Amino acid sequence: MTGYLIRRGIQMVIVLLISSIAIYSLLLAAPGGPFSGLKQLTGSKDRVSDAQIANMERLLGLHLPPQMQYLAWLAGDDWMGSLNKDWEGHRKGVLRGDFGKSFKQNRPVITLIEERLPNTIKLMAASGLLAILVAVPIGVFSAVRQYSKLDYTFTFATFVGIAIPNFWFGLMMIIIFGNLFKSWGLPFLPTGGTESVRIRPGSLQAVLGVSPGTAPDQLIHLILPTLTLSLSSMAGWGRFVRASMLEVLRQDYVRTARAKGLTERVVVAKHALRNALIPLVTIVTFELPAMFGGAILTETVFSYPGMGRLYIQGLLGFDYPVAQGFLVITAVLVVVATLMSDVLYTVVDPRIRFS
Amino acid sequence: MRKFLTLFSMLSLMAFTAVGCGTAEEAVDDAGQAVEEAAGDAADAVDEAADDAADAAGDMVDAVDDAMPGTTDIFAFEPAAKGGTMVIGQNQEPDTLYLYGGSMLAGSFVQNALYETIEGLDYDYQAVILEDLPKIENGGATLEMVSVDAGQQYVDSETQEVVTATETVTDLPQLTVTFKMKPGLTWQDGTPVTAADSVFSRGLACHPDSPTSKYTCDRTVSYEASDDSTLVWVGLPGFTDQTYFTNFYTPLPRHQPSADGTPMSDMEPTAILEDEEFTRKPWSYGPFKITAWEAAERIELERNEYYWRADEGLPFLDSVIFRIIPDSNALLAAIKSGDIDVATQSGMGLDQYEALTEAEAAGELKPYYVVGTVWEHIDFNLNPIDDRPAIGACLDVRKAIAYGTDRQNMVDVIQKGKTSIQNTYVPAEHWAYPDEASLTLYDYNPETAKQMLDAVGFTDEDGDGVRTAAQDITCTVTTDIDGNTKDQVIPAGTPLELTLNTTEGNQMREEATLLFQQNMVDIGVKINLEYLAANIFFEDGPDGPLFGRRFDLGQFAWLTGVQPPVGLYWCTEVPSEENAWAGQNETGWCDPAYDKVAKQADNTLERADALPSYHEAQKIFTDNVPVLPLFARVKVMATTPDVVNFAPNPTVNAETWNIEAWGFAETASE
Repeated sequence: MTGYLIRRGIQMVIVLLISSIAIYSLLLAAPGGPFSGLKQLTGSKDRVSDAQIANMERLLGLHLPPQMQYLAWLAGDDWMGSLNKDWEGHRKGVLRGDFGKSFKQNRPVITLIEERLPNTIKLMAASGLLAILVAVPIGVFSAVRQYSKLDYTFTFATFVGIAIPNFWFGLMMIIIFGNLFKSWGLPFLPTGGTESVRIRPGSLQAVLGVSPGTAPDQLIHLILPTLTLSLSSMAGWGRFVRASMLEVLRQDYVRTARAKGLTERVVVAKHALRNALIPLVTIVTFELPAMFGGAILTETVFSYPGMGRLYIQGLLGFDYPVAQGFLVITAVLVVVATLMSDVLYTVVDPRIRFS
Repeated sequence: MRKFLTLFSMLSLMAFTAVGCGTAEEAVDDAGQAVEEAAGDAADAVDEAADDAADAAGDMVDAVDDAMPGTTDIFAFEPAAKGGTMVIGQNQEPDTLYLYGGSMLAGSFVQNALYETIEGLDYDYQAVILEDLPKIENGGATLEMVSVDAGQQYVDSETQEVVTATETVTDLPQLTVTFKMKPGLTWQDGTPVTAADSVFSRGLACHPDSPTSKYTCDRTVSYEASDDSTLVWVGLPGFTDQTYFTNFYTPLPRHQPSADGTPMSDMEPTAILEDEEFTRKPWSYGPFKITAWEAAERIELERNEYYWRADEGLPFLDSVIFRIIPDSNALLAAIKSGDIDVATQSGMGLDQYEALTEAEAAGELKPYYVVGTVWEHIDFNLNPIDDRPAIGACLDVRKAIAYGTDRQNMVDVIQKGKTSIQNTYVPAEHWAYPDEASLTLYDYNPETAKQMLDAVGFTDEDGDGVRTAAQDITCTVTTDIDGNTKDQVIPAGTPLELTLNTTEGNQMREEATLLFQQNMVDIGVKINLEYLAANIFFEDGPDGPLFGRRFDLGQFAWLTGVQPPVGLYWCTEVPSEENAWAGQNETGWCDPAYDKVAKQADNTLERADALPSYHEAQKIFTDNVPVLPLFARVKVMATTPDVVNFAPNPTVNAETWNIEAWGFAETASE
């Protein structure tokens, strides 16, 4: 086990190094840059000269050759003065815990992530939990009552869930529960954000007597994005559990359990379900990177201040440190999740051994 | 069974979709009824409050009239209820609120609540916090003729570039402008705003490490405080800046402490750029001050009790909250549900026209459509850098394409008739717009277009609908300011086929290009449409298709403003290797006669004296039609029906310019 972990650890470092180089190269290779368009400002008083643009690039470290920019991001540029006086800066580099500063906001990338991460974790955890709570019973029921009317209904519902685009479903939720409920005189839900700035008459908060900014208020704000985000997971996982359960139900040990005279409930819950859930462990473990990465479309539709929006803003705004920081942390989580998944597999399934 | 399932699936999907779409009509009816009922209940309470407010507001309006003579219409406001919180939705979070940290519309919305300075409304300037705009005619500015000795700097009158004299240069005009700030301007901590704060601000703006233009800085001799409220700006000899009366720097609080307590005045400009006290909680002398900023969610402001117009009862509101709502549909839903009171232009568009009209009819909101300063145009490439046929070099082809484009249809279809065709780089409402009789106008006339193309030699002999060059066609273009020319030869047999590039994912542009493509089919011109990602399309030369001059036709937008953007089409602005691809005139059109009058116009101090030159420049521009102006884009905004004094203006970027006067007609929203 130890040898296996060491070997995997070394592989992970190599994978991360290669992926970080690839990410950095792709970001730099994209056309444009943080100062693209400045040369095209129309008013003479707004014009920025080439010398000024060069100075701005120097302040951001963009005057370094591309390979040195990567090195500065990885290992800092506070030591680069020994190579070239012009390259010296104040950055410590990712290896020393410095993810740099946002080009746009001039704030440490870590601070930006810290601000958004709690919201993302709340949303992703809530939607993940809801998805499991709905998907497992649906999947089990569909498998146990295969080809029943309810199975067909669940199957249809899961396909709808998989097929509906998140952003459209989210908008429908907002229109129905935010706009139409209000016009129908029903307790309506907030259209976005994480908490209220004021309580409107007729809203769910007003009906429940919830004050703005309190935990119940925040919980109410989570309802629609959680439902939206969990829809596709719910559907996908439901199908997965159904398929896994069907496979397990055909196994000899299930037949043996039935032959022993165990009740169907015990057969399903104790012998079949526990084995059927083993593959789900892999899927759920891979939610770890998603817990960090958030959901760009859902966050956008619900004006939810999470990691997904941070990433897309960084990417579209040529804010390389933000985009790079996000992608690299995601890459770390992916390789960690892969390892965790492999290790967990051996824990939940004794038949599997490391080699 | 399978058939049943399929049918059931389809019916369910249709039903689900209908919930989102069809029931909107019912919602409209219900909402309308609800609004009427609510209005009835509130009416009595409001009547009483309105009477009091009207008396107070009457006094305020009088006060503003006195303060701003001649600008009554723009600055007038109606009474509003005192107090309340207004929530404003915008689609982006500002990167920073530091004045010299970067320009961003999202930041301007908030900055308008913190600072007031010279305003640019209705294609003109207003003094606001100054006693008056200092002009030569009112004695606020003086012009004297000076000479400079060898080694001294001055501004070349022709190029407006700063040069060092190699010998004595005489008779150079030098401007001295005196700005007098109004009394009572006070920082949110109760400290008076002084002229020294403005001098400090100028120091930061002009520091090499501040990411701001240094154009005016480089042409300034001095900017000094002569007393607590008076500033004197002296320009470099030869700098005949037509907007000299705007060379005032918005004051910044020198004494505001940084995160570690160091006063702003003792900080390095690069440190100020990073200190959150200055970027996220800058001190205000405007109607509101920052109280909280929840990242990516909202920025909260409350009334600045030291606001210089507090005696007039301003601001009306107790607090404003800027909420970040990135999705335009969600923004619309938010205002309809009452989550926000104002939806700014940053997230609204004419693609929501039908929904806005429906919501307006239901009494849920009030939409605003204002013709802005962003104008769409299709540019020809007269002098491509690569070896493509330079069809754009032929004047009559350009004119034919202009005649063959039904721009009014574009305005009606795409802009819902809310704007009008633009003929030059300024709209018809602009002070610099000439009498149309002096311009060459291109009213839609496909027959004229066809005749012109026939005359040039592009004919459709094989009847396939696309014209080809019947013989070699030679068109001559001017390549530099000295008048050198180049013959562009279009070989016989070349089809009249052009690729129109524009940005992808922009519905308005895609619709415009499709209408253009259809118009061109009608006159025998084949248009291929190619949509590119904005960062690729606008990439600097030499790699970028547009500014590297590797295109046939390009559609995009430029900004006009109070000052006409005549400099866009100077010969020296043609992006090329010589100017490091820094120019904006990617058409490659160069006309020394245009440059002469355009520069003459820009270098003339008084607007009235400059007008003939501006008019002549536009005449040359329309005669040569290097660019086919389409229309000025409409800015779309909305408020809930109870918001008053919301007054978006064409030449002010952010509609919060008069946020101090915003308020509710009643206090129902609380």
